[in-house]
Amino acid sequence: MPIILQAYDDKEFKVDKQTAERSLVLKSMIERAGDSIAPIPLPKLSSLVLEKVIMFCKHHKADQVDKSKDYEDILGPRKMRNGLIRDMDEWDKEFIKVDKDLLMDIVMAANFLDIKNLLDIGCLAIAYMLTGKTPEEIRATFGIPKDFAPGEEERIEQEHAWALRP
Amino acid sequence: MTQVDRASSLGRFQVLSDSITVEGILALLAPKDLITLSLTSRYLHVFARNDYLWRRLFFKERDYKSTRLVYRGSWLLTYIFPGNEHDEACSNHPLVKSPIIIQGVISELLHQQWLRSNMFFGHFYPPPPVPPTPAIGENRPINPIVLIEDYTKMDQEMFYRRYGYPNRPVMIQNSGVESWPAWEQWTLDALAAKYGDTPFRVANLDSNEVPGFSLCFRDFLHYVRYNRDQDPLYLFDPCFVETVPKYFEFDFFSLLKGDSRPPYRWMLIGPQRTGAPWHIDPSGTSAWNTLLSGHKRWALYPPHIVPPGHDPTSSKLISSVSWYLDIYPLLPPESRPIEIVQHPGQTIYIPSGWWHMVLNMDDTVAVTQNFADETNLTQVKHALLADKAETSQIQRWEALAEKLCKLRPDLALSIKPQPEEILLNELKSQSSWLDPWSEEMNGAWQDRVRTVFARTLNIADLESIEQIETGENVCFLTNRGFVKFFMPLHDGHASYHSEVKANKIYLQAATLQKADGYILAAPALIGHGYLLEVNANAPSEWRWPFIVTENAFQLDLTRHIGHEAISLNPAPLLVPATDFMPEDRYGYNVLLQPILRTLQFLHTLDLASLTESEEFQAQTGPPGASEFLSNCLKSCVQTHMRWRTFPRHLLALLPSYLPTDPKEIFDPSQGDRVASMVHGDVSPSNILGYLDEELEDPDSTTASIDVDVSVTFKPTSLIDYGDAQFSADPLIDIVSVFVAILNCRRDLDMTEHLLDYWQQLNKDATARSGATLSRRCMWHVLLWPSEGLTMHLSRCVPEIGEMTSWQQVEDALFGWCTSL
Repeated sequence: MPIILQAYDDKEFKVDKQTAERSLVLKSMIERAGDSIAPIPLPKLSSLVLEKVIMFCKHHKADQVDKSKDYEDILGPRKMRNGLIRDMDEWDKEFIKVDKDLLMDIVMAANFLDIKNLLDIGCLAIAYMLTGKTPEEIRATFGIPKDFAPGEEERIEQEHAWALRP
Repeated sequence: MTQVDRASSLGRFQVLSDSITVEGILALLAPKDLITLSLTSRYLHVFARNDYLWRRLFFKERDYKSTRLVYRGSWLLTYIFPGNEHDEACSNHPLVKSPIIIQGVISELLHQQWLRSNMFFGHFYPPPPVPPTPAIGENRPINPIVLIEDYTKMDQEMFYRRYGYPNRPVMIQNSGVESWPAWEQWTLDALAAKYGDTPFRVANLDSNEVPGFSLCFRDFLHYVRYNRDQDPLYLFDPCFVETVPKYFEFDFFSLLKGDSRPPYRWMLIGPQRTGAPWHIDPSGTSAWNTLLSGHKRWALYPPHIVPPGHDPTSSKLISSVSWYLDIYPLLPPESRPIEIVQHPGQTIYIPSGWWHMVLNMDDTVAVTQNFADETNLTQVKHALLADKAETSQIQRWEALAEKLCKLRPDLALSIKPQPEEILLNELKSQSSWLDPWSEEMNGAWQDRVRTVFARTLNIADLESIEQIETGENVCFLTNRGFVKFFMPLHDGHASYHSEVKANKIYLQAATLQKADGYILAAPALIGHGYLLEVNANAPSEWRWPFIVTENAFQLDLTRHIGHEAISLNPAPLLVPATDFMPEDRYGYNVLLQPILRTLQFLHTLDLASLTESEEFQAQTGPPGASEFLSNCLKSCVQTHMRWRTFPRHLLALLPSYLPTDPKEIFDPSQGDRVASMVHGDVSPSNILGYLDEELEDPDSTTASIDVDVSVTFKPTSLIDYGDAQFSADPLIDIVSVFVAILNCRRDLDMTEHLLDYWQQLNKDATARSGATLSRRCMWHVLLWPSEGLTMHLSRCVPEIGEMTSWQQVEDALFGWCTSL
């Protein structure tokens, strides 16, 4: 029996139970409601984001939950430093190539719906974008203004002299 | 100070919660990238400087061959200046001399972190326990507290009777710990003076990768004094203390010599805010923990209650501080753990299987040991033998068992392999054996299920086959019904015959008879037989008898007696009563009424008319009631010696308390009321029902997942007729309801339902001479052939351990039926 998910723009998505249950939040709702489950409103998610999330869950629906890769354990800071992201599955890597705003929304949705794997690859993708850049490049990528008071930036640079030295 | 605008300072990160940004994303970054990030904006500066991240980086890159740690008040500084040679550079560095402090950053995450790193728990005493509900009629102590006993007034025997056998925790004081050498030698300063450069094992709960490492004592102490961590490091080192409280002097593991005995006694130095998250001690062991200085707050749940908020399947543990701050305040008083604060000089006893969590309220020094003794031997044995991954555990048990048998012949029966284990080993050597619990064999078992459906029911297109966990038999749920293959354990043939016969009778009776109110339904039997033909070459080969029934969890109730009136649309998914046992009298009444009505239905069936058909005449049935009782009686003493649920002084009295002739228990010729059919195992796991949820606010059905609902469990079905008996003693079911359903509660308004039912059943019976009703009930408890009931009983009534005779136990448990 399909589960109906409603995005905040009222667009409905029919998904099978196994797909929906990749989300632990939806899983517990389905378990409580049994077969009589009503459409589930997800007022925090746009249909664009929800569509992506469903695509991910559908692709991974047959994964063994307990055997799934724990990306955090595989890729500690040491490996990130070498810019290694190739441990990520090819499909996941293609999947997460989206524009930055959508990426942020997907991470938020994965957190809200409790889909651990999606949260992991989303965080990894963002961390990757923060790797090997200058402060200016990071600001430009993520729309961050320089909001330090006069003189603060210089002092922080002094504090970090140990790390910024080539 | 001006507040910084969060939204603009974080740019695109503003949509994420701070904990995802810091703990999810920034935790993946290398030091250099974190430093760069800290130069982008004020918010990101504060996030990138978060000490949680630098602690992780420090331990990721630390040289674990070193036993030094130069802790510098923050992990960032400790990371930058890891060695003593950096002392001068550190003190001249701008981060130390004139650190810049970015103000105006507001974050819930940082606030929480600050609380967890700075809270003082020295005054954090548990609230007084909830007063027990006053029981009506019976003076029944319910103790949601850990009692404190005086060491000088409790001998070993008393300890076993009060706490060891009933598996109850206790706090012991006045045991002279003050005269232990460790009392003076194990203060932090004394240890530093004597063992400053000696490496000790230190645990780092914060890290999955390097949970433990070695550290010299002086550096550890420096860290203890100056750290502001959420989950500080604590010290956990094997140690030698000669003095041990007398109750724990003989640890059975001491029979293992050399390498086969792992480290067993530990020194624990836990700075304030450290602790142990919820856990059960390994290998079925019990533990004692003696506190030398400081204060520990202990929280406990009995073995059958998983602590709220704790997920035993997850590898991520919640620290005790986090549990107390995030979960504890949400618990209703009756769901709180049993709590006690341990003071210096006191020893706590944590029995086998109990959940426990510790919070060090200040800097603590303690010594602890996990052990095996005569009261937890069975649990230790099961745990060691069940550890399939580690054959060394099995060898450890075998070495231990051999020596212990010689030393303590009185324990031999519970040490040697049980009849079931021998049977199982025999079965494993047969060709028809396929391990039902191994993943590789799963396909083969699915084929067996298909064979059964095709052969018995002509169903060739099963869509789903799912193995379900139920006790000892091998069960599968499919889209076309439920299959149970009987194991030879606990007389699988008899169970098979009982189940088939009971189901047939129930099915016939249900079409003929009527009852007042509804009767708990039984899923209909749709097929049965043997998986394998008789093997002429190996006649003793197990043939895997099986039954196929309707899916008990999705039963069409409208076909069952009395259920027509209940309109349930759509049909609810049924669940076992196990997790929904009532807490109040109202709830018990809801549960008890249909159970007793169903028992009356079963007990008073017109068996003669139901079984006169040829089918029943031809059938080999299960053994008769008197044969069953006489078999149980023969093995009763040995069985209890194996289980060791009751303390040894009561076991010794067992032979003289039991009757010599089974007729003393049940004798129809003396006028004892005969029940046509007895279910034989009325327990919560065999009662199915649904949750009747009444939503408090009907408008908010799905919008939020945290809707307040009041839930009542409505029982609908009684399953598993594998223990059914015919023309048998109805007291068997009464005893089962009293122990398993009422949890031995002897409040008048509960037991009077049982008494009423008994009187009604016996209204035409003549008075019997000989054993009283309470005596017969007690005998049935002792003769019960499976361990679960006895274990449940001793958990419900721990005071049994202290009783000196079976008469006393009988009076305490079944005194309520002497009014007849």
